[in-house]
Amino acid sequence: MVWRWFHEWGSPRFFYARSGRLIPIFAALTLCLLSIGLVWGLLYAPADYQQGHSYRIMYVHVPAAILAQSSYAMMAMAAVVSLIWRLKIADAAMQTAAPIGAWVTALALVTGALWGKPMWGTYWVWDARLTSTLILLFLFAGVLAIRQASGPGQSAGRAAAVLAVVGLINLPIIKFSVDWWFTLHQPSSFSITEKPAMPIEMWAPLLVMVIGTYSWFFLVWLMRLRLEIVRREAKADWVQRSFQDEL
Amino acid sequence: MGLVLRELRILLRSPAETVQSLMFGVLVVALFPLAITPDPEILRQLAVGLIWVVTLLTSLLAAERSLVGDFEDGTLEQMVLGIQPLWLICLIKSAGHWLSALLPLLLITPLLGLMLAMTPSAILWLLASLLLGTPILSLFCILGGMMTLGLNRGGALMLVILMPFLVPPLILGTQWAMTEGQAFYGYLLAGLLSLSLMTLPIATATVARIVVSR
Repeated sequence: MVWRWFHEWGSPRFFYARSGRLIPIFAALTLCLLSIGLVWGLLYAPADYQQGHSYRIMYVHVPAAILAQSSYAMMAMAAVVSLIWRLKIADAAMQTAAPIGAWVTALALVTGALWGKPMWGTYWVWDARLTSTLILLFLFAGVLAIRQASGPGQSAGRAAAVLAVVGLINLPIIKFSVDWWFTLHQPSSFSITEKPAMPIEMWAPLLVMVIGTYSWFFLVWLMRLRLEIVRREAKADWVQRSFQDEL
Repeated sequence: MGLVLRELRILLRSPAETVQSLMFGVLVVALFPLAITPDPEILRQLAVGLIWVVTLLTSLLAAERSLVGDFEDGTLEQMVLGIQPLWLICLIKSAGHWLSALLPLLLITPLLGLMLAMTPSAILWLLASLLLGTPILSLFCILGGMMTLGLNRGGALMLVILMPFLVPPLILGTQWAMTEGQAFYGYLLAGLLSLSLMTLPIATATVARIVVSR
């Protein structure tokens, strides 16, 4: 049962046909959540008693920072699948996730720097979390660079996949080893087990933004992935047929 | 065993490369007092980090060199096709890299330490941290070197790829040396070394197969 599902979704043709139906769902979800979250967070959430209005950049920064790490994990998971089962889809998924993840990580760093200036009085400190996010960006850069340098083809993807997997194993090591500096950063805004320290009026829009950002990630990922599939399978029969009218 | 001897022979017959690593280390360390300040107080504070960074750069520079010969004359292909387990070959290659590029640098580290006004006990702890940390660098550098074999601009690419992975040994090693042997960092560094020893040769072997099939 599971294997059949796996095989079906592993076929580029089936994937292309089915994923097309998911696009409008994710598009609608992203649009709703992000617009609600932004308007609610930026206009209606109460101002912080200490940070005033400048804390509102949190509604972009925190979702980006959360997504940055999970997008690396998702990319590395796709890499594992492509290394073990050699699914073409997984390789394409890995390739398309990398640039999105890199940009999200960069966004988290930039918004963090902008938030840091009014709060800590400096754009950048060598704090544990900032440093590990910067290193995460370098990890993405490495995966992108090796893919770029080795050109198209299966073997390029496999080298990048090995790198992504080694990176996944190293991510906790990097995080822990970077922790030895004293930390300026406030503790995580969210944790599954503990009650948030913020009042509900503040964290509810944040939650909406986090879910909306994830939905945005899946939307962009799917769109890029579909494009990549068509590009790779351009000579296949089913692609030729489905694009006949446009050619 | 034959492989180990072969690595050693290659090493002994091309002393110029080893000398090059040594010269690089000495020259870069000599530049720091000129660039920053000759004040021994300040140099002493920076010494551990500077020598670690120089070691790391030396290790990166040497990685391509220790693989490219085997790649170009087809030896690597024969190694992949041969009966010896490939991970073992990769492990031996890493050992060869360490012996040719990093061990000589370790031997002159006391000298480098003196150039930066370090005290004898600080030099000892620096040596201990390098002894435990540099094998990790070698293992990662051989992985990165293998990945970039036969690609354009392999050297610069390798720096981009490897930088994140070299951060943990760098942090743990320098912290261990600067706290003069706080056991916590030593244990973590040793743990990282054993984890790298177990996993990286296997990853390198996977990459070697990809490189040969490319």
